[in-house]
Amino acid sequence: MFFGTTEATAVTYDGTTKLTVITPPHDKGSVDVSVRNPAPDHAEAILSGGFTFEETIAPVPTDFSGRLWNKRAIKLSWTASTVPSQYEIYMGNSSDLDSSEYLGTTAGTEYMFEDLEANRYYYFWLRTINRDGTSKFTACKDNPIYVSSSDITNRPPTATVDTINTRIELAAGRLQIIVGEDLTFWRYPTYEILLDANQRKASEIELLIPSEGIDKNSVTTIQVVGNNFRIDLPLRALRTVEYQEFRRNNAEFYVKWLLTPAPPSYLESLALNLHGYQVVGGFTVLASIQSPVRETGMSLFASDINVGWFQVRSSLTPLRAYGYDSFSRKWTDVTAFVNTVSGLVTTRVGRSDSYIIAGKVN
Amino acid sequence: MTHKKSVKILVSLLIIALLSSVTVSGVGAAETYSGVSYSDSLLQNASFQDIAGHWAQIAIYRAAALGIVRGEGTKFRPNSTASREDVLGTLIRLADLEGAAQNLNVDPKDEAGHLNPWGANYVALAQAMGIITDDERRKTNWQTAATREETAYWMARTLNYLPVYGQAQQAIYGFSDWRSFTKSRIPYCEAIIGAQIMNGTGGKFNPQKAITRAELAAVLDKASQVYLPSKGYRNLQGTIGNTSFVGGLPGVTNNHYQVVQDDGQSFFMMVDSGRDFLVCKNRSIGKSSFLNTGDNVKVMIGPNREIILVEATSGMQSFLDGVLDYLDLSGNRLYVTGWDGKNYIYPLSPLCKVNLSGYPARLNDLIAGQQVSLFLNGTQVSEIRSAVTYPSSGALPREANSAYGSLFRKSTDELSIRDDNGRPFTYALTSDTRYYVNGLSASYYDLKIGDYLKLTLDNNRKIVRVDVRRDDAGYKIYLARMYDINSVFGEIRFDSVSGYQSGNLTGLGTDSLVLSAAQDMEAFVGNRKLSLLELEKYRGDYAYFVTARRGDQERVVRLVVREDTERKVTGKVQEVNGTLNSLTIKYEPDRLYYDSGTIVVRDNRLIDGDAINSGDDVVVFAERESDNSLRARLIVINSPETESRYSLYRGYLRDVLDRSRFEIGSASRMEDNKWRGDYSYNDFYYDYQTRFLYADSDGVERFGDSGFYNDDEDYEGLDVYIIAEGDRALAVIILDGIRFTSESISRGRITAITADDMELGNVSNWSSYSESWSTPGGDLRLKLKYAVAVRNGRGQDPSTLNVGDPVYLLRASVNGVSGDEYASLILVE
Repeated sequence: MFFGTTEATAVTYDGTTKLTVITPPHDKGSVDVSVRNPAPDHAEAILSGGFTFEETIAPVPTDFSGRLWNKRAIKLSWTASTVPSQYEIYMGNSSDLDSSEYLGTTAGTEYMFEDLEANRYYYFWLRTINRDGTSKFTACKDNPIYVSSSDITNRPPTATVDTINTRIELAAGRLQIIVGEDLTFWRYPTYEILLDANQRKASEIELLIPSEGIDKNSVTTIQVVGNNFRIDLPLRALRTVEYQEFRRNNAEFYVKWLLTPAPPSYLESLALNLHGYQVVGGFTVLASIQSPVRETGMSLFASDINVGWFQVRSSLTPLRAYGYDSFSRKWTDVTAFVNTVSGLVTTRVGRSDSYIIAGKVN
Repeated sequence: MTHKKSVKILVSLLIIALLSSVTVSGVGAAETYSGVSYSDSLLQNASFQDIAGHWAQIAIYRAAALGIVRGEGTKFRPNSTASREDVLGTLIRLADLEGAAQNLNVDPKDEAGHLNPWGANYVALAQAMGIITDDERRKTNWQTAATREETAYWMARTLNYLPVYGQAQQAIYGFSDWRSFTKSRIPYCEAIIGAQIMNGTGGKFNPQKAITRAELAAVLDKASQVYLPSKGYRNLQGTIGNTSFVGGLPGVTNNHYQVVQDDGQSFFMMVDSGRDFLVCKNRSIGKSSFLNTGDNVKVMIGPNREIILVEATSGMQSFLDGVLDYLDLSGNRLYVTGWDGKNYIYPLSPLCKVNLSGYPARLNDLIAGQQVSLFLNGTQVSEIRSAVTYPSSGALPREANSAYGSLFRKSTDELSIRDDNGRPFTYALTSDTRYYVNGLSASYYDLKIGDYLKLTLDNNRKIVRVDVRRDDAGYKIYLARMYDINSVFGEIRFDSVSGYQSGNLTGLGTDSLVLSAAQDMEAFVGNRKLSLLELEKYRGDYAYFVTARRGDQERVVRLVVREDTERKVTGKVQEVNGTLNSLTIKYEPDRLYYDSGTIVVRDNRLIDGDAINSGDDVVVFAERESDNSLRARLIVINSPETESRYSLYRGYLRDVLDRSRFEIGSASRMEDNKWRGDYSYNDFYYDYQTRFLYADSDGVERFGDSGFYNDDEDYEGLDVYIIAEGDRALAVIILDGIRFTSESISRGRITAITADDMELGNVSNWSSYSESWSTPGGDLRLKLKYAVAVRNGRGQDPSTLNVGDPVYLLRASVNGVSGDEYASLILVE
């Protein structure tokens, strides 16, 4: 008994006028039905277009199996159903199908389950789904699959975002230093950030200091030295009023501390206010506190920060550093130390502001 | 005596020297351009008497100013046809090949056939360039009119436009009469039409029709806009800010015009007795003396920094009334909400006048929230008028204040936005805050991360009103090769196009794609921002880009150039650090860095990298940098998007309390796509809008609130499924002897629907183990027998669903029986 060219799965002889036949799996469409007598007769009768196969619910695969795979997953596999369909996989931690939950759908014949936890039993079920509906569930032959902790040691590694070590980036002349969280446990007086030759050339520098370090460490001073500058930033200087206010509403954040050369136009306008002096250079310090959602300025520091600025040696001596107080409209001398040999003028920086380095005109 | 005279001379020389040094210092700071010495003859060439009011008038002026059209006498005859030799001549002049043509030796016999004195030379050059054959040269009547097709073909050849073959041929087939083109010329005509130099009318190109002289001028004008920038020509725009005369030697006047551009930068146009330039203002042509302070000008500048033509408009162009939101003096911009409810941003003219209650005032006197009338000249604001309504200046009431930025974090009591400079701000919401999307009333749930917001704030910096400016439709993500970039028309031509579809970049059927750049398009290479002109350098490179529908067109809104390598990483974000701009993905041993150039897409919004959360399910396209780090170029987030105004419950109906209230027991609630909790008893309100469905082994019944109340005793103790908004039940399923089994959550778009079942396309299923949506592909067919739906805050029967609706639903088998799969609770998103 043939349907098209495929032989019937089973034929039962029910008398001279009747055969009971189970049709073979077959693609959709009409086929000829042919009945052939056994040997030696081989007489044949054909009914052309006698049977039409229609798509049905896909029979569920019978060889659904699973095993641990490469210490990171359970790999489930099965052979494809004879009718095109997708496969839905359900999973549970007990043998009760009712308590299982949907895991995933695939059109392929395997599925990787990667979210493994140690010391657990896993049960899997599979069913087919297509336009005509869903099949019955079939349980995985290997149910339950037990995952022990030794089964999943040495999994593939996952990278971590390194916030522990200090990271330095140089882009377009600006040096960005994200101070690492190792600052928190630094018990030495200075936390020195070493720069390479390229980084030392930068004229703008941005320091991002983690709040945890500021909170838990009050003894350390951050030190950065470049070709144009030298920063000695005691952490306690950052515990300002604004900082403590910000700390109340925000968990983890950074203090951004920026040092840039002062714009020449600003220096010029300042020079007009400072009679009898010639301005030879200057810098601007800007500090702010930023969390992912908020940013607020920081004006007065809790103590002085020493900022050294290397100045091209000038004939004007002595060089001094000045800050301008716009409230009292007075210039104050904020010089900490002047090295006349190297040209380093160290300034006591008490707030976010611009500072000038000037010499008296004789 | 002689001594005295020499002193006098010295003094006057000194004054001249001083004056000229003043001129130099005043002007030298900015770009300076000057007129041309032959401005008189140019003006004469361009002063046609018969083009006043003609549609091609400006184009004719431009062509004349460029010297492409000349020697025509006092009449241009715009509506007569252009002869073949003239068309060739103008094209050769545009390509700057006239010198070559004039140097050719021409047989005097050949000159007989030409009216144009150089006609024979033009034709000879065309033959030498291989544009025409010797046969054509001899047999063609060069004095008769050229066809439009000939013009396009010759133009492509003289200006070296490469022929377009194969699938890239698109533009020409848009014309219904494309069959009338000569076949061999189609690839060349395609290049010209594709570059938008020539176009048709009424869907026809009329290739065999004679071209009129006005059409020719218009075509030359467009061609020059595309062709000349590559030859060093530039167009600048701005407002005349200042004019001043500087007297030099006797009889010599120097005049310079300061032009302030939209970004606040200035350049100067110099005029002296020997050099001047053409000015076209109010549809008439003249010289620099036409210009006045306050005129809005478009300046065409030649490769030798000479001014070729200035197009000026003067006076008020348009007018806008509204409320001042914000004055950005450093950015030279004004933010205004018009009475139509839309937000406008305008650059200020350098001469912007402010007038308060009839008195002159300064920009600083304006306050946010004030009603203003803006007078616009070109794109710039030339005058602001308003009235002083507050009792005294000094301490001004700040009643209204606005903040602009893109939303990157939201919670029920706060919104965090990032302004245009990338700084984060957080503002508090109140219970009275109103929400508008594109001017229409909306709700908190309509705000999506990545939306561009305008927040109106009260005195306490709390949000009174949220306005969302949103692109008309969804974003599409592509990877393609940039085959051609035309910065003049803001157009990018792509080939080898792949589109992003469920985690993959798959090749699209169409091989080439032509898209316009949106006004606010941002293009990057690495984290460096590029203008469209700079992007031209990357022709031939691949780029990831995102498009949105703006107006009636799909436009490119963001683009990042891809380098040589490409790596795809998929998985769940393990850790994000906004300060370090990097993230890690589970089982991926490399950290992924992102930057301002990285395209990040979630929920059909462009967001910034800092808005990625750990736990997000991402697809990352990255490349390996020279320092061996992985840099993400495109990140697509398949977010769980758990936030919904509706919640789903299940339990048993414990008691119908009264006509508007019932109580359920053993309630669990859908949270993060999973049934959670045992909320013991839960009260719900119901009303005439609540839909009920009762199902038992005999069938199903649908009814309203009175049906439910009248049969309440029959229903008590039965299992119920509920869609609720707050504590208001919108739709309820009551199951009698029927059990939903193997439940799962799916979402997708309805592709077909009948009374009995519906089909979903683009289906994704929620897997609670991997906590992500997986998209197996293919359709899903669900029976609607046991389904209820909710749309726009109202319970509905599933028959009201439409094809195209995006749905989120709970599906299940019934009583553990295989076969049909049923939808139960359906939310239209």
